[in-house]
Amino acid sequence: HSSFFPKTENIEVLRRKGTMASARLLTKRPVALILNAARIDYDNQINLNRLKQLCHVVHENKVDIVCGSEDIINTVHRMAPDLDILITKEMEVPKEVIPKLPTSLKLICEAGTGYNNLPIQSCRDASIDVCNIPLYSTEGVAHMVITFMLNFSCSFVGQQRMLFNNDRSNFTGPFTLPLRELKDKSIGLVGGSGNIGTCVANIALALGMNVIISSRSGKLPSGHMHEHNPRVQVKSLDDLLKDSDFVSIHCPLNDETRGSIGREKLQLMKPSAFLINTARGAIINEKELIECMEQNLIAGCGLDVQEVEPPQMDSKIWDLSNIVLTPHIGWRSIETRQRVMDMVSDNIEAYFVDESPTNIVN
Amino acid sequence: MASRASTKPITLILNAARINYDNKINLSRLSKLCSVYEHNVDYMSDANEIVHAVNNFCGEGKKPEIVITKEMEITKSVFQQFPSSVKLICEAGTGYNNLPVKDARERGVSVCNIPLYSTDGVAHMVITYMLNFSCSFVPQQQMLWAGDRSNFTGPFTLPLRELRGKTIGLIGGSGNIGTCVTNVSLALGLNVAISSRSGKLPAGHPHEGNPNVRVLPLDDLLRESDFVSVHCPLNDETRGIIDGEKIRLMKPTAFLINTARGAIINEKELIECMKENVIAGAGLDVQEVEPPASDSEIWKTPNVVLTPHIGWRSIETRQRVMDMVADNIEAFIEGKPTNVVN
Repeated sequence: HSSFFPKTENIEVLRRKGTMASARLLTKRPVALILNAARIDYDNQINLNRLKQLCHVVHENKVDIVCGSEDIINTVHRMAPDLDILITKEMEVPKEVIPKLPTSLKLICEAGTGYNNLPIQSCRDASIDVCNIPLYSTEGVAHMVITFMLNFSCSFVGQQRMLFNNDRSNFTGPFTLPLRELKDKSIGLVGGSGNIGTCVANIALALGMNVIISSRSGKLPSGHMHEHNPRVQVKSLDDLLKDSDFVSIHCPLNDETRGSIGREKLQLMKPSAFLINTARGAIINEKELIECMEQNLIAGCGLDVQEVEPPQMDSKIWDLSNIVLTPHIGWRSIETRQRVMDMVSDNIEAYFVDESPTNIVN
Repeated sequence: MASRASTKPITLILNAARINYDNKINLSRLSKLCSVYEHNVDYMSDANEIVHAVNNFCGEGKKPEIVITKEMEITKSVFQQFPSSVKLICEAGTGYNNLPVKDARERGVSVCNIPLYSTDGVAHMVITYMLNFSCSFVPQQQMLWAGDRSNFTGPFTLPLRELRGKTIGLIGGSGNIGTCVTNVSLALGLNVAISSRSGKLPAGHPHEGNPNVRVLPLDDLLRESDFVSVHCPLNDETRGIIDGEKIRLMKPTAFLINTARGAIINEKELIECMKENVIAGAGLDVQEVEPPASDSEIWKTPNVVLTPHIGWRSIETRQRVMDMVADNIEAFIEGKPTNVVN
């Protein structure tokens, strides 16, 4: 990438022209395409100035998603045939796309944490680096878990639905929905020893709960802040499922975890327990989940992510009163969306200006 | 007062269904101490009905020595018609604004309450409202119930704001419930502002010296907070204190939460403010009258979310309050009364 190194004489010219403030700048700035810009900036409130200073041109394809190999390839060639950087979010990029993209492409930036949607091996084979943003929405996602949990504990959604249907009987008569304290209850975090899981654990502890974590290693990573906390235990997945009042998913989606939570695992849970998923929809076998919820196997389920987003319009998932859906909003507050674009800029600056790439996942 | 060696005191739970509406509460501890009579109503507003129940419900020739009640208004004139047998009134809860405590003292009747039983439950209700407001949870679900899936199929059109760095203001929040809300709010990354009549935190308060927890005068708290939560008792000073004038000091993006007593807020003026979008929303677990009149505008006021005073109603909390009433009664019988408020 030597063509991107700042050349001393050019910097003096630029300084005299007063167009640049920083000494560490590019003589030839990269070209970037945000393939599905509307996924992040759907309300035109996100400030992309930093990105536009780092990159020569930033093309913004103002759609939420581009579907299918052909459309992806055509869009890239049409909008940015000379692109260096492809920025995308939660978009499935099939591996056959990679060899058909412009050879100028050097870096794919996932504007998020999960990169299961990108064919990272094919990118490696084509000498394309892929980077992600491991930490940007930690609290937003963790708070979504806590929101679902608090709502389940006081049947909040059920209550509001009754009022929506002009049923005020909970006000005029006895309260007929379940109401349970959180104190001393257990929240089980499946794969929850990472950043988001730890954030959830901290809040759950402040709410007087106990925390159970399942981890492939069987223990918390050394140095984990709750390594010695008696209210935080590591258990096997099955024991976590048996012992928890709330189960929250915190693992990445990969071949091991895909569909790993189905009837067999749900049957281990307490009938009074709730399942929460803010990670990736496909970790849960949705078909079996729907059947289990129809049979009231567990008390309820809160899903900020679904197998397909949005779910098919005729899916039963929309209509079951014990399934609460939100449209993948854990990361979508305006502050979080701004942060993710700022951190994409950080990755790009590290890669092209500092020549010290960060957050490369392949 | 009858000692435990002799007959157990006749004890009337005046509105037992308020606590034990699902027959899941275990009263055996109380029954060991007292001869318990459960009047299975939730609430009585008719003075004659209350007087009749206190005098006659326990049966022919049986007048109660102890009356247990919860959140039921007992006026001075109703109290005057209580039998002279009554020596103790137990409020099965924290607030006792509903009881004629001075008149009771004049007649030699002790009134006791349960200061600490629902701390976490009420505090968690505040947090629940705050989290729901921050991600527009209720309007989202309302859209789905109306068959509108556009937030899923298209861009998300409701406000979504992080909590980190925001401020929650606790009016009168230096006590137990306010401190619990403070702890959870700090864990959520918020800053906390507390208004206190003394102008400072009580000595020994767990957050004395914490830079993220400040004491502010009420008006400044209202101006600076993103979430305002009411934590004072209801009395002559606080009745209607949160009126249109105070609400208009708040940020237009702020939310008001009340889990304390409905009448602390001037409900009529709140409704007007909400219609004018003066603030972004209000979450009320308590209302001026519970339940609100069926024709009250509060049911359908924009951006107002209601719950039927459930902060204290989990089964664990209801069991705890009856166990603690039994504690108070046991102490009273032994001549060492606890939690007497008059």
